[in-house]
Amino acid sequence: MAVLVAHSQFTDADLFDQETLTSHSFEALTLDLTTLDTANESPKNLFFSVQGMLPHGFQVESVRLKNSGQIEFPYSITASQTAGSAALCQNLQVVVLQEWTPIYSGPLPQLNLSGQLTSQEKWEDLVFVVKLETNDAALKNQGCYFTFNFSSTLPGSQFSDTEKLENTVTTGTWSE
Amino acid sequence: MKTLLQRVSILKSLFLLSLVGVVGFMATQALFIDRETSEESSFVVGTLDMTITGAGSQQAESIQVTGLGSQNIVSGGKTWTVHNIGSLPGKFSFALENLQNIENGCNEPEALEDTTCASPGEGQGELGAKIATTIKLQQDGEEERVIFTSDLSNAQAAQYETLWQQNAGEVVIPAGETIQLTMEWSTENSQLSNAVQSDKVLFDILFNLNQIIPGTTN
Repeated sequence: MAVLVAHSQFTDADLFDQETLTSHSFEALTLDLTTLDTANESPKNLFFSVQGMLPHGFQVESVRLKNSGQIEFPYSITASQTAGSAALCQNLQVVVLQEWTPIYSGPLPQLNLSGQLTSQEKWEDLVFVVKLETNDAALKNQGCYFTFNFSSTLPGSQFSDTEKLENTVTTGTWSE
Repeated sequence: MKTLLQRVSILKSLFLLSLVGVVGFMATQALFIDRETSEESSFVVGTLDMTITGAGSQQAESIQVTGLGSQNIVSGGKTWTVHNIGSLPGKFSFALENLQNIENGCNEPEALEDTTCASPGEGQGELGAKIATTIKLQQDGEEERVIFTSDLSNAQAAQYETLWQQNAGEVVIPAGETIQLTMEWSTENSQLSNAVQSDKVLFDILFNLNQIIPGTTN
């Protein structure tokens, strides 16, 4: 017994208590801007497709911008030429209407609008008009390929989303 | 010359003398004995027990943060009071367990830069790696001190207990005393890219109090 005690020194009946604080959590938001068809809310990527536009000709399209994320966000709308005649692109005129009120009217390259989609499931319907108002002979049989860019970046993070609507406008021929 | 008979007689005489001596010694030995009895002796086992409370002795709350990504939600923390309500001093330690980095699927912007988009996608989430944590301790009226910094990535989860052991030293809470433990968190806005959208981090915190064994250091 003495040998046993001398070697063990202490009993092995350690006392122990443990408390657990459960369910700590962190969750990130979502930011998602979608461009939809105004008639049936199907996803929309293609916008204007105009063939043989003549002076004083125009075309009308519409798009629904929808907040499919969890937080309101600011957005901007710009236009970028992707191919074709720079001269034609610079001479195309754009009108944008929100709730049937014009919010922009001017040259395609200078389009720069901003807005705010305030809450989840909120949307805005925009009507776009593209027109050619000049009869400059240099613009005959030309093409302008461009995108309308709908961009959003959430302040305070790098959450961002950009949707592009692709457009094609070609001109025909006309007598001066 | 003595005869054989005479020699035997001498040996018998010596044996008898020895026997008489031994008997005489035993018969005359004086034993002094005293005995005291201590009655009602008992062994009482000490207790080791702790409670965890929040600020102002309120019920302890977990850290629960939603809306990461918003510019208004970038940092925070919780302080807990650990009270040794037992009768024995205890050695305190801290650990994390059940850490889960959940992907929660990907929306369209997230899918453009994230190749792991399962739902729930446990272990695929990127958010935990973007959340920096700082563990602080205050005891015995001393100034609060930083024990270690880390994050909530899968790789770091198992390191919390190790980092505590390496950096806290021996944190003993005497019976009846308290310590304050703080877990702070923060995010860098520039680090929250689309890859963390909808991601979720879950975990539990363990508070351990162990009996101090005399003669041991651990």
